[in-house]
Amino acid sequence: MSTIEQKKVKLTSSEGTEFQVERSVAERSVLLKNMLEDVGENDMAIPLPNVTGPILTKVIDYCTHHRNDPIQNHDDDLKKTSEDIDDWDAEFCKVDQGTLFELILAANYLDIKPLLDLTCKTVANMIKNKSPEEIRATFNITNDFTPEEEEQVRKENEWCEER
Amino acid sequence: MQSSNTNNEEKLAAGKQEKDLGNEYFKKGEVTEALRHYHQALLHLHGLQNNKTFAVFRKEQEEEPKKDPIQEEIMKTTSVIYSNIAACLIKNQKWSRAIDSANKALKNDPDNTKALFRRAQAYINEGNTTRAREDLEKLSAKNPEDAAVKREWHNLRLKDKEQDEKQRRDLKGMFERKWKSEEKEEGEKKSENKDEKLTSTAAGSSKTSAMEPRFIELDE
Amino acid sequence: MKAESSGTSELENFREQWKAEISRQHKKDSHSKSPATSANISNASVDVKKSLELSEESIEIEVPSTFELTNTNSDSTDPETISHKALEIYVKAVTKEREGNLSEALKYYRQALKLDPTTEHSYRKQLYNVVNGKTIDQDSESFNFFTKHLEEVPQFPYIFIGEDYEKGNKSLEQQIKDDNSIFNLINSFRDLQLDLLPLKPNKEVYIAKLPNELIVCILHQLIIRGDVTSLERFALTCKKFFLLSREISLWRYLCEKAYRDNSLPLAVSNVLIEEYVKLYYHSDWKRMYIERPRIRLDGVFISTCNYLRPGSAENTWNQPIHLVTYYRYIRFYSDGTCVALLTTNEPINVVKNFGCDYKSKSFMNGKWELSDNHILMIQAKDPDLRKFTFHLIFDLKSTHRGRHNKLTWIEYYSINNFTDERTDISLKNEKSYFFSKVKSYIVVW
Repeated sequence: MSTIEQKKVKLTSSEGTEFQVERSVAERSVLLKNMLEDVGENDMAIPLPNVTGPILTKVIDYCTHHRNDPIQNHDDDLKKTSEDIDDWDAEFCKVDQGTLFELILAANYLDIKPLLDLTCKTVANMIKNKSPEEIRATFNITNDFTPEEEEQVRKENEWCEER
Repeated sequence: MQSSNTNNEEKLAAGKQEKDLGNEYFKKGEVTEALRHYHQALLHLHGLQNNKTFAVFRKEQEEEPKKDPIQEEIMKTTSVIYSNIAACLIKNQKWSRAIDSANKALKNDPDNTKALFRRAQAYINEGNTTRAREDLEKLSAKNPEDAAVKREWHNLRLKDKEQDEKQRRDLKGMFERKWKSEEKEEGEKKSENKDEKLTSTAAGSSKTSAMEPRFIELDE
Repeated sequence: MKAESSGTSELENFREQWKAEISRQHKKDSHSKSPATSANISNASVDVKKSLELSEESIEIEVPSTFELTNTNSDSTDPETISHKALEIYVKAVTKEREGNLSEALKYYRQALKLDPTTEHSYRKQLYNVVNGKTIDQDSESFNFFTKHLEEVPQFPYIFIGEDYEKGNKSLEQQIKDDNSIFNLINSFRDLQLDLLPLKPNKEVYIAKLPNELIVCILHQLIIRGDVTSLERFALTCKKFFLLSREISLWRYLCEKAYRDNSLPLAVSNVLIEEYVKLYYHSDWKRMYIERPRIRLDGVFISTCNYLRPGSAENTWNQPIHLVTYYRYIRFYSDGTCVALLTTNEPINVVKNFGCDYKSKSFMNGKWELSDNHILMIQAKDPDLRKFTFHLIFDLKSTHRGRHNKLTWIEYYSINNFTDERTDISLKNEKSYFFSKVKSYIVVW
């Protein structure tokens, strides 16, 4: 099958930019895979109104790099996630916070589980081993607890802090 | 990705339009065209769901906190689309995909009875009688007199029998004749009991045609 | 003094003697204005005697009690400088003691107390001041090294000399009170508009774009290696994240991993765990994860065995003391295996690399099983002693420092694999194991 030139699938981003990708690349997205499976290929472009061009470019990069990965089963989830992020993926995730969260939304929209896991793991690493204050600074969020509430939560959560 | 409400409203309208087109094609029997429009509808609506509820609350009290009406409609519509895709896939005999779609429909709206019904149908055809029975029991509890549900109970029993017979064929020669015939009688008795509880088999199947449309029709 | 008496009380006695002795000397010397004797510190000469008994090994370190103390700034006789110097040495001693290195600790305690018999008092005073955030009336240099010391000390939480008292179970009344207060807190957030407000108003809050479901995905990635501490810190950032951190699926996941019965298929094990949480914890998965005993995988259990043995004495001043120190380590894995080690190497040199592929004598591979929620049974084999299977049986307990972090010995014996003959191993010098978290350990479930 690989010897035959794959038919291209056309995708349009929310601003109307058109992208052409191989079917195997598009099929990393379960949303698109199901669609292509149900209605067959077509010359009409598939509109993706919930992804912008720059984010779609990143997503296509990811899918192109991973187009030959075996399809992930639910049972494999754990094995996959217990491994470290490989160099290519780590480099891929070196983006500003705005882009990173857009990628999470896009991975969820297009239903690309490995990309969702990768981007969520990257954010998780931003939380890991940080104090509440550092986490607030990282995500630019305000502490909206009253001092009494904060104390109550701290008391309930202190079981896991080693003293 | 914009998430402002006006934007979501526009996308909701676009998604609904595609869904309606899909329904028209489905009624005409053009399943592939119907699927195309349902998928187009999903391209607008998928990923917009933002369930603002928290699991902590869901567990403690039944009453749901106030919801954003647009959000609610996005989730309801998405559920209907997935449920209708499941109907198409059942027509195309793609059972596992149908189950998958029905699951997504139920995730967006746990009260979508049609999605539950379609999942039961797909389970029966796939041969997963345990899961099918669970779903049918839920459906019977909601609509004890529904003819379509009764018909699926009948289909389930047929499937059960078919599987039993297959198993028996497979086991042939391994056990003695006497044991087999006893087992068979017992199996039949069991299924008769079940029939009585719901309705008599014969009456059920004759009524189905009259009351059939309930679960076959699409959601609008 | 008897060898089996606890190391702590020996140390305490020793300190008392020293203080008495030194203050007497100090008084005598105070007229001559030379509080410290200058001489060489002889490095503790180490006399290593090994007695190999089955897999046991102990090393005796002779601490020469006759060594003389150096006043490192012998030119300075200013009492303030001396007390400062003494405090510095005292701090070193405390650090060494926490590390479990008693012979070094003793050396520094001696030095410090000899310089300034009131050092212990000023140490406590400083500690009190720093802990209570009071400004230190002394020079900032002393303050700096002291706060630095306090920061360093918690990095060695693994050694606890002596018995750590065990945590009694919370009274039912207290438990209900606590549960209610957190329940009320959660409910008070019910009707709030829980939007994330920016810390810096001119910057965007990108994470606010994510629906709750996707924030939970992130939290799932966070706990996938059992990092609950980070999850609980995340909960402390704001109300919305507090509520999300309590998402049932997260705690259910943790429970299904922590209480996994490896002898059963996954689905069966999960069903049993679900029954358990319903029966004993009102389906509160988080409560179960906190309270139901489990073996911790994110660190190592260490038992430090120390005892002092006096030699023959001419007088108190010249009494030689033999110090015997060894460590036992156990690390557990989720698949029901574990590794154990007996060594004289200190934790700081062992912990980092301690795992399945650790190369050492007296290293054992084993299997573990927790039954009745507190009885831990380990069967282990030493590759150098193939003839035997070792059985270690413990009671898993909690202490005031944390939960499920102490292993007290119940039984220790070996079985000869050829003759089935059982040999009990003496627990005379053995101490409880205490848990220390090790950041670099990756929990693989």
